Amino acid sequence: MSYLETVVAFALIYAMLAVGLNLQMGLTGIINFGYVAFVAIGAYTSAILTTEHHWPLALAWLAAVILAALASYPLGLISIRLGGDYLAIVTLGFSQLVALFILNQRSLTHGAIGISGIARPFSGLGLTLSTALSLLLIAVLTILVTALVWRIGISPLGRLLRAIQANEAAAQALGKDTVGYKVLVLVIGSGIAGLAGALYAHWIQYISPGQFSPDVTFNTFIALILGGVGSLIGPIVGAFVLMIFLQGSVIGQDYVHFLSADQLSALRFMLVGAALVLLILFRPSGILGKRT
Amino acid sequence: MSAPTLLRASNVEKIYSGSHVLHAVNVDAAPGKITALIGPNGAGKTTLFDVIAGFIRAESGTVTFRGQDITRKLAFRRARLGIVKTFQIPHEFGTLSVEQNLLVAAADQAGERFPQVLWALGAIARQEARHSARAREVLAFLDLDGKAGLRADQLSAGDKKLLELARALMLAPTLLMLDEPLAGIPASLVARILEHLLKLRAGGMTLLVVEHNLEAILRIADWVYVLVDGEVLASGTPAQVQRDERVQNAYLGGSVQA
Repeated sequence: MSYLETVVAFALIYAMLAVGLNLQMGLTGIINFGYVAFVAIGAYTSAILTTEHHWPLALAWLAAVILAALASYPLGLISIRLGGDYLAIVTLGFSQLVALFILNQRSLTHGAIGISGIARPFSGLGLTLSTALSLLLIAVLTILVTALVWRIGISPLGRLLRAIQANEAAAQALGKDTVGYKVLVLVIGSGIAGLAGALYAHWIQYISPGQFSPDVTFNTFIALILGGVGSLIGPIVGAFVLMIFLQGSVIGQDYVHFLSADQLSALRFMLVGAALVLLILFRPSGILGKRT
Repeated sequence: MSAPTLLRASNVEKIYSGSHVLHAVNVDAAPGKITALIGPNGAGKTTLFDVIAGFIRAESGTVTFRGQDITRKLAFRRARLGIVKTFQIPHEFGTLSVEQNLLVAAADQAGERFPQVLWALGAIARQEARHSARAREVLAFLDLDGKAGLRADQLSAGDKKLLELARALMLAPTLLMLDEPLAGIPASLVARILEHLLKLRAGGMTLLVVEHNLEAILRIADWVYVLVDGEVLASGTPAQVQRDERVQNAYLGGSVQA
């Protein structure tokens, strides 16, 4: 597979993640710093079910979505009443818990060694075709997830979620079960993360605990903030811009001769940081965010 | 008061960081009547409101509604039973339009249910149309119809108070609890709102109202509680309360003129 294909696949997967995070943060105001946990749960669920239990891919992905969603349910019930900052810390702690679980439950997850030999979708069709079709499948699913979040956003449910974000007590005074709705949003967003995790595992074909570091969460936040919190297409644009920054240095090596590979790879983080600072100075609501 | 009661708060006691905000307060709201809660700032009126509506939990005491003990019910469940309160400081949904603020308030919306929201488009559209019509009526009544499309956080303080009232009216509650509905409202609208509150009462709604505009509230109230330093100092009809010497001394340091 070419490098460009992987960059596009990653950008699409990050776009899906950013769309799911947008449902939580943009629409409802839930700050989830443990987002990667649900990506990991989805990736490991699908990887284990397909490699060791020979489940069909579609069922394994469905299981990834359901398990990631279910895992968020008790977390939501326990912690969603906490205010923004506290919830952020609890979710970050939860993601560390999941990471430790994956690292230590070797009989289930193979620990630090990770799981290899995860099949690409359509792998029977040869490398070129399966790569192209996988990419197409990821794109289609990203569009479907975006459509789902868009539908929620424009519906009375989306209006209620914005209301809860704006003033939770007022929504309660009007008879709205705000805690229930926030848990619902956490569960849906986590299901999306689970799907993205499964797509990732089957694209990259090998997963290990190191791939699910908090960086994934924070890259998703960067994509979302770059693109515009609360906007529809923004998170997708943000994910592609982020990927160009993060992966562009590898492509750029052929053109920038006065920097070593190490320097270039360090430079990309500086560029992402500078871009974020400039963005927040000049377009605080993101590239496609609504001006307020 | 031995008359039937819709809502009863009994022996409500609330302590904030060691000091009593409410001491064994007893307040009843009779069905189809306007009950006023008056008293100086810091008397505990808003705290009592929050205890009744379920936003804060009292140290002791009970709240019953239609004879049912609701002391431990969550705020949103009390609202669904028909107890809807407004806030003293407007709690508008600032990022939504004025009209959307009202639409959020509508009860039992098909479009708020997941996953039905993804496919029940026809039913949602019909319900939305009904709610929009109702919202327009309420907005027109409160002179807010020209501002239906504005973002709620761009309203003036007075309009935000009206929006607060409008949202509560969308729900047609059994017990409407208003926390200073007249504060910050243009004088031209005060008479109109009072008239509307009387109309709501005539329609059978029960009102519990905290208000500082005594002249206005004593004109429409059926029963008045005077709360001072977390205790009910006096209660009675507006005429009785205004004659009460303790009230005159403790509350206004002079006469209470309606």
